[in-house]
Amino acid sequence: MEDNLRHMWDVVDNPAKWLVGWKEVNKRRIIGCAPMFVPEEIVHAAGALPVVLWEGSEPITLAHNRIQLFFCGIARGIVDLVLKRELDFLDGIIIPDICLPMRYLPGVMQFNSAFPFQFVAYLPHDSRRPSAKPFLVEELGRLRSKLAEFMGVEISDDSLRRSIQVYNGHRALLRRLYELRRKNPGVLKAGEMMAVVASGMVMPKEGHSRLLAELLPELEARKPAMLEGPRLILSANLCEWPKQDILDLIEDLGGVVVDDEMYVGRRYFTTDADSASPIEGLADAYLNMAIPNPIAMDPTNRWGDYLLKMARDNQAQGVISLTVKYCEPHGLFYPDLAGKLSQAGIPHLMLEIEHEVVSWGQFKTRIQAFLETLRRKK
Amino acid sequence: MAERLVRRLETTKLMKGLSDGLWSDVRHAREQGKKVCWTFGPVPFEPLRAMDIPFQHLESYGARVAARQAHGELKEVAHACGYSRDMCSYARITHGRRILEQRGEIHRMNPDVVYPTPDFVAAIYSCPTQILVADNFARNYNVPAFIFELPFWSEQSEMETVRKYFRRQMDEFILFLEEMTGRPFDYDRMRQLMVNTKKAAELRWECIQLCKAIPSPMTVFDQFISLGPIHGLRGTPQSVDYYEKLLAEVKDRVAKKIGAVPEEKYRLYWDNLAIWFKVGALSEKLASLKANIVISSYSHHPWRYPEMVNPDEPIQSIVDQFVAVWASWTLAHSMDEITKLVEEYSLDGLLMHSSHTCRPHDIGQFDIMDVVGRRTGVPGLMIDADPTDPDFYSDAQVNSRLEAFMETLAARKKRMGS
Repeated sequence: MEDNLRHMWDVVDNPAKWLVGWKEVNKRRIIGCAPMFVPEEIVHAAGALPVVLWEGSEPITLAHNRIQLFFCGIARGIVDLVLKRELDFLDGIIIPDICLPMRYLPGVMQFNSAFPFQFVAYLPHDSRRPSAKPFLVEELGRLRSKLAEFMGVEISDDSLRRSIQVYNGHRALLRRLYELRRKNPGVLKAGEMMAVVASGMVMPKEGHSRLLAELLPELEARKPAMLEGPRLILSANLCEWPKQDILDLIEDLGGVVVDDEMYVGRRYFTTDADSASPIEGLADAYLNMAIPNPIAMDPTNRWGDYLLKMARDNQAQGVISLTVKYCEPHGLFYPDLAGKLSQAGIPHLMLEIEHEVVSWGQFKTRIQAFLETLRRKK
Repeated sequence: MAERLVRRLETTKLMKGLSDGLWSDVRHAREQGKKVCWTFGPVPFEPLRAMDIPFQHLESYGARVAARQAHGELKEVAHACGYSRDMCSYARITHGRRILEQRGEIHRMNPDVVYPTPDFVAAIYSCPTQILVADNFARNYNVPAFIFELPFWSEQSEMETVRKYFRRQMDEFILFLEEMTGRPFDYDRMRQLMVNTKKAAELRWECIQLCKAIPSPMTVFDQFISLGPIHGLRGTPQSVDYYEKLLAEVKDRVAKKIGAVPEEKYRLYWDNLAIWFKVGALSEKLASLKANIVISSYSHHPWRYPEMVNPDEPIQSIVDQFVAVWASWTLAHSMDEITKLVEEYSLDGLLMHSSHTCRPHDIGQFDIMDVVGRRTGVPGLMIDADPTDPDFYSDAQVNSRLEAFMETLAARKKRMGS
């Protein structure tokens, strides 16, 4: 188990280095998929390795000659990694048009990178409309054609079905891990869970699934730890890997993370695709996400309902919302999530996360105070 | 008070009355038994007019509130309720108003900024943020929302896909309006509106083209003020009347070689939205430096293809215009357009408004300065500001940057021997 976790940490500590090594051995192409929701199965079926792009852990420098500071860390981080030539190993990049920075990132990529394959995938924002699915099916078909042309292969329906099954299998294993954590919150630290999911976004799914399949029985055999601290749900942290240090801080101060609906978390693996008619299945999986899509229309506050239900189902005493600074899908929704939790009497805390975290002292004080409040309420 | 340097166009003085009329229509909608729509982004307005639905436009509301100095309080209300200061300033202003209204405290506000709540909302993804704001309003007012998806296109095949998708969405919008009003869509009225849209677009385009004259008869601030008729008043006879008057005045200036800025020495491009609360002050500042901003992406683009408008095919005309203008606005396209503007409008420099909270056109500005600069030789200057939030504006910084930039342009002109 330790070896498997160590392997995952190696990937997470330096994903670019790991991928360069992987490419040298496997001699296969790698396509970067900017977060969120790019249907990686299509890339997998083409024979390339799809990797969900990350923010980078170094201070952002060169990117600020190309993109202003008041954009989210993931947009600036990806530009910075490109300009520092740390993503040169990528053979291509797919960017989903889901929000403002992602809509305009392709332009910067076009003028500042030389990826042989660049594709923008427009993902609709209102799944209720009759026009949404036919468009998305056509859009995913376009990705399939362009990728097939680039890779010099045919992407058959059968190959797509196989890829969907691989991904569904991977998702099932991650769901099993998360169910295990719900029953036994101490089974892995929140930072370790993040490393498991994030490494799964970088590694080939087959290999990661093998590591998970070995890891799970050992974790399932562990006796539940008696953690007495306030039970917590972590929300959102859209697109980006949650900061390890913040996750550690929450737990070091006594918080017990029991579940999450973060992107590098449940959102990545909760919804399976139906492989019968594969492109349609992928379109349906996007349009009907099990966890309400934060970039799509949600006029009845299904996100709030979901978060509330998650808190209640887990007997959580509080919710910590991790808001990526400048993230508009979360920032413009957050007051309504907070309102829903407040009405239900569930305490919540919002932490604004920046790429370079400079306010550790504040975070510590605020989290401490929040947890004290929860302990007193108990 | 110091005498103004800029020669203001008489026609632009009509905008206040026209704008007040538009807002009055919204204010009195309910007593006239009409539905009210709030719009976010350059939604197709003609179908709303065709169905006699007054609409409140988010961006215009933000500008109106800012002009009446009421934005500060509204923003603070929004901040106190959890909306980050870094979010879209138009959204924060309108959220603040919604929150006060829902608390029953709206009577404290300047009556000029109080308008009916929406019966439904409509938005377009030309700015992704607007979709989120529309969603938020639908959620908080418990009203239906319609959004237009707007993929970008780069190649012809992609354009056809986008055109087909947008047409399908326009048809859905028509059905939506029929559902909202309980009436069949009035295609006859729609065709009449598009006659006016075509005429207004033609007249406005002619005015814009005349700014190629040296000296330019207009400043970009005149162009910004004159956007009202092609946005909120589009389709109305008043919009045609306005642009007829504007064109007559502009032609007269060109014939007499009267520039908007006396002693126009430097001709500039403005990228991005206006800084609405500094329109007058910046035009005077630039005039004092003998500079005139003669064109902007923001004033150049809207309805710039009037030849595509066929009033007998009103819905398809809107589709074609949106696909040609809004869906083509990629960075590569922008660069090509701005490169052409440098030559066509005899530009000496580029002013890039890097807007803190209104961000659709921010990403790529560095590359535009670099690439267009290399292609044309003209230098660029970035100005940090915001369309409606003075928290992100500093007179000292902006003025000193402009002064330094003019020195650069002066040196360049001297080197080029002009």
